Amino acid sequence: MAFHWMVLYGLIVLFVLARVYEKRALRHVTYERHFSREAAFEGETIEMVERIANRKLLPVPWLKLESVMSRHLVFGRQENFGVSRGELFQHHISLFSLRPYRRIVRRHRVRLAKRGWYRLESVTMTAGDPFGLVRAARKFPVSLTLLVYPRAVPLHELPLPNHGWLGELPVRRWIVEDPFLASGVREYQAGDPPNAVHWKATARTGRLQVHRREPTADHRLVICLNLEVTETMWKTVTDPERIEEGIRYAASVADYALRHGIETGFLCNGWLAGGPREPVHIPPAGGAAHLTDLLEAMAKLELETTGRMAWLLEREAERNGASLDFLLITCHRGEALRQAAARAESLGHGVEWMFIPEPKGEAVHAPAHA
Amino acid sequence: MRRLTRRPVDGPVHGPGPVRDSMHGPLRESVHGAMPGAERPSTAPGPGGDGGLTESGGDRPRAPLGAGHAVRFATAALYELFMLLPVFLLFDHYLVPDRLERVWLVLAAPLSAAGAAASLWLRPMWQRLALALAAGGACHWAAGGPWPEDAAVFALTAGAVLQGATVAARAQYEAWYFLGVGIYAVASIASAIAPELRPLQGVLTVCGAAVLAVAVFALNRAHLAWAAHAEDRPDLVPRAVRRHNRFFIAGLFAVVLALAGGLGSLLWDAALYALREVSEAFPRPQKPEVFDTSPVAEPSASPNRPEAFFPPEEQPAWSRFLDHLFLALGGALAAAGLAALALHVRRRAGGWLRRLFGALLSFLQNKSPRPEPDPGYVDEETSLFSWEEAARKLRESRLFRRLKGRREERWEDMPDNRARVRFLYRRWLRRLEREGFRPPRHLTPRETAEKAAAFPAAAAVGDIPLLVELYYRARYAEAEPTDEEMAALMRRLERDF
Repeated sequence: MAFHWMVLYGLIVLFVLARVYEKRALRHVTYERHFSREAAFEGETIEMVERIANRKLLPVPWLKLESVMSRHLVFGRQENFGVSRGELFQHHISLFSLRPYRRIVRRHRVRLAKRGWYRLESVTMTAGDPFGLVRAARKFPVSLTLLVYPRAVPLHELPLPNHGWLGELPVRRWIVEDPFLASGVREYQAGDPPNAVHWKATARTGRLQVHRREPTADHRLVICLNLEVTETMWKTVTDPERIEEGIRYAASVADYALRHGIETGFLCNGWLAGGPREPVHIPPAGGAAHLTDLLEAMAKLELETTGRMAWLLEREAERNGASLDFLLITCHRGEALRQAAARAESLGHGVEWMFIPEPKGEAVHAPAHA
Repeated sequence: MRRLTRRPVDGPVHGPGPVRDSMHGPLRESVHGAMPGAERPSTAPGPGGDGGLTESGGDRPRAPLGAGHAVRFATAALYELFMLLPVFLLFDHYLVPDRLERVWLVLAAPLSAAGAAASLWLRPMWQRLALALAAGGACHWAAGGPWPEDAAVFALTAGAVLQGATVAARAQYEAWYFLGVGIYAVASIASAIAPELRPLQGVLTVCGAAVLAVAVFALNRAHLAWAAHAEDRPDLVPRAVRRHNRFFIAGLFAVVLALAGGLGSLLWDAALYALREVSEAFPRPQKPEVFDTSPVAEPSASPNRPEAFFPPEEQPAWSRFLDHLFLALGGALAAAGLAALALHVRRRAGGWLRRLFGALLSFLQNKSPRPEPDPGYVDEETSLFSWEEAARKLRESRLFRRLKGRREERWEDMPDNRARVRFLYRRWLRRLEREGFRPPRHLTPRETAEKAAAFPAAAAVGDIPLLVELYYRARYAEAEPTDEEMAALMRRLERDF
């Protein structure tokens, strides 16, 4: 056996290998991808499941799956499978080696860093011989969507006004306790939540005191999210982080209100991804399904304005009777917005302001009534 | 092979400038993993025009170099020396005086390794050249021969030092590995042509096989790193992928070895034998008999030699084929015996030998003895193989159908009632064709049956409407007729149908 014969046979084997893999590498290879959940909250970790099968005798020494997805889907140990991140998107690579008649189910842990509506249209699959002489590529349609709801902020972290909310409209029926309506203090009772403790009153009296909440009923809440960072801002949001925080506030209030039986609606001067460029308007309603609708709208919200919030508020106030309570979540209290709020109040609606603090943490609480 | 010469990299050995290692051969990695600033992005080669063999970026901090780096460089240099062994052997054969025998060959390895280690500190090219010339001069002086005769000793020892000192610049490319394969192949051809080099054939084959194996593994490793977009860190390629590829390459290499070791000639002989048998099966045109009119020579008075009765002839192809076949069978038996022996030893072994077997088995069974670092995902692998599926695929394969087409399909071959109904329907159609009725192809089975009803041979078969009804269910609804239905159908069909 001379070495040059070995080289010659090696070249023949390489040639045959290249021909075989060029034609058959991706034959009888199936692929599917899905998320373990269709919707989740910002900050949660879910699984992205890839299922790939090689239903033939020929092994596939390497098979690469490439896809482009949002950089806000953060994969664990990204460096292990070639994730290269850009400003908006990341290039995700999964490398497999498939033996004959084998199926591999790969479960990636994905942390949802930001709310949004994430779509994945297709995945490109490339395979070939073990030396890279030939390659075969195919595009797989996947049509994958994932809704990431905004993270709920604990109620005590919300920049709520100091005094009772909806103060002019108390009712004496115990239907639901209004977290925004504090009418004084009372002694602690078993079952009271820790965040209800009024520490100053406790210190004064020497006994554990809690906030006394007034019940309210038959009022419909409309959460108005203003995407304008300043009064003069137009179109694209100039401080996305601040608005994102505002969206979280809106989600938290909606969650709390709906869980306590308050019919809640949503009004926003942004628009929804995948829909027409029109302001978002969801009339007040109740129930878990409605909460899902609200969260879905907040997840799909694009950070671009379609109109002035002042105009939207005025129109909404005029359209309905005097039975709405508007919660204005905003970064500014411009003249036009204050006038619109005053107009709504003059029509018999309740208006409350929730000011989105500066990113540095300079929380500025707007007065209850502008 | 596109990537083999893809990127000229400023050799880390040549300057403290940044290095971005894109190549992933085991030795090259070991060399460049040791480079100062290896994690920094690449820059253009140095201004010296020698592929980066000059100092550049001297303002950057230089990482401390240690003995570990020197060992890695020396390993790369020794491997390159191993790749260049045929060249050194040829020089030794033709140029080195006999009185020196092969002392210089023994010297070449330490000189090369020393040159590689020294290159860590001798950055500019002129310093390395000076070192090589000094080493060559010292060796020549030690050899003590006259200058023109011992010039080869000077050249080879100086060359060994220079080779070691500059190895890192070459070891960044996959082509570096295949350079060795090319050198061994050329030397092997030369040894086959030149009779005086024939004694080197064995060494060239064994060492060349090792060089080839390293080259193909390195190429595969680099390719996987490219596929994973982890060219800077090939260790990030999933371990399972690397392991499968190693097995795959080992299998391919075994095939090449088997082909070169006799299987190739065995197959070639078998093909020739088959060709000869086929050609002999055809009658050849008879040549007209020509009578020899030349005068017949008188028989020699001396007795005939035995060779005249048993003329020496070449061994026939079938005999050589059998030789190779039995050789292969013997090899397989020997391998089986070795495996049985290993199993026996494993059962009776204790201590470190048992642990060694355990580690080997874990490796072969794809089980890691060490816990793998968390890769950010979890893989579950399951087998999809089933004998039923394989048998079905085989039945549906083109080759099988072609082979099967030579004989008529039989009732016993049908796996289920669906196939049996379809078999009966086809048989009925064939019978119609034999009787001269050719139903138009655009007709549905039911229309065919209606059209054939007027044909006596079709009606004589039996209850055709029932057959057609079951055929519809089996063929289009993919429903399996029950055994009772099949029994009823068979009762209503003619016995010899």
